[in-house]
Amino acid sequence: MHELSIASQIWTSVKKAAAEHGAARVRSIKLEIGALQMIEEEQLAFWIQALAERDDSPAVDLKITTVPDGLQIRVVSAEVDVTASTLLGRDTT
Amino acid sequence: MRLFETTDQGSIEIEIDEDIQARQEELAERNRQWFRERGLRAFDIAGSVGAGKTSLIANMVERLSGKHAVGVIAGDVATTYDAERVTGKGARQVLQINTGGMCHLDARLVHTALQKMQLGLDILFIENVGNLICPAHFALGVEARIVVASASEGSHVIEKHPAMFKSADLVVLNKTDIAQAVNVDLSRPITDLAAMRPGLAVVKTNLLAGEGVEQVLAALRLL
Repeated sequence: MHELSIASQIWTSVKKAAAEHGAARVRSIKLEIGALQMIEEEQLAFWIQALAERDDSPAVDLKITTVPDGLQIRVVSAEVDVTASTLLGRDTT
Repeated sequence: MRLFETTDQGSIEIEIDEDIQARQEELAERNRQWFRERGLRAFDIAGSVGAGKTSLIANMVERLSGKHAVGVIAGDVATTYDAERVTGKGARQVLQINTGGMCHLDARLVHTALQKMQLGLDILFIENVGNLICPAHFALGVEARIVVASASEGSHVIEKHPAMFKSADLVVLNKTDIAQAVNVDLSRPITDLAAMRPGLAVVKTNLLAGEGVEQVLAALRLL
């Protein structure tokens, strides 16, 4: 029932970490989710994908480990595409 | 003008290790601290719409207000009906939170209401928004959570809502007087609770008649 707000928090956390590494796009997200959260994983994946598309990320693969009797929602890591920008030159005219 | 060439450096895995529930727990702990500093014993009363949460609170306030300074915070999506029902029963202060659309109270909302509470209260009952699903995942920072279920919700109410009953410190089984009329065998929810939570206190009540309230108060060590 709260999959959208949870997806939003996860995506915000991942975007922030990606930006700190100069990463342009997110490829996958590893999560640990406690079973007692009773999160519907398909719904969660749907909303994360919707948020990713809004931010021009390609399809984001979710890798979820379920922790029995747990209540955590932990963003473990994310695989991101890193780009480098090289200055080729300036036009001072 | 500056000209850049952007090249793909490939993929890397970045460690994030953030528990997004941690902020909720920080806020709940802030409330716990607030209650401890004031010697205030606070209780969260959760349950479906119509299960008997407000009746339980009204009964407890009536019995305790002679010797204690009791406050009530009622939570609902809309209206002030629950706060109105408890007003006049002896509570020193009754507040109503309207969440607008949220299906549960959370520690932040409770903290906001606490800033309006009078000094000198020693017991606080917080009535959560009516349902057996959403409140389960949001700790308020109270001493105990009482979950009220009623005979009219059917024999399988416990099994159908595991997260809520796993978060309970006490379960009140209300409307025992109408169990037969709604064809519910109350031994089933009691058995299910015993299997799910061995040793969890369960009190049967008929709150319209005020029956079982003393046992609830005793279970909460409020007598």
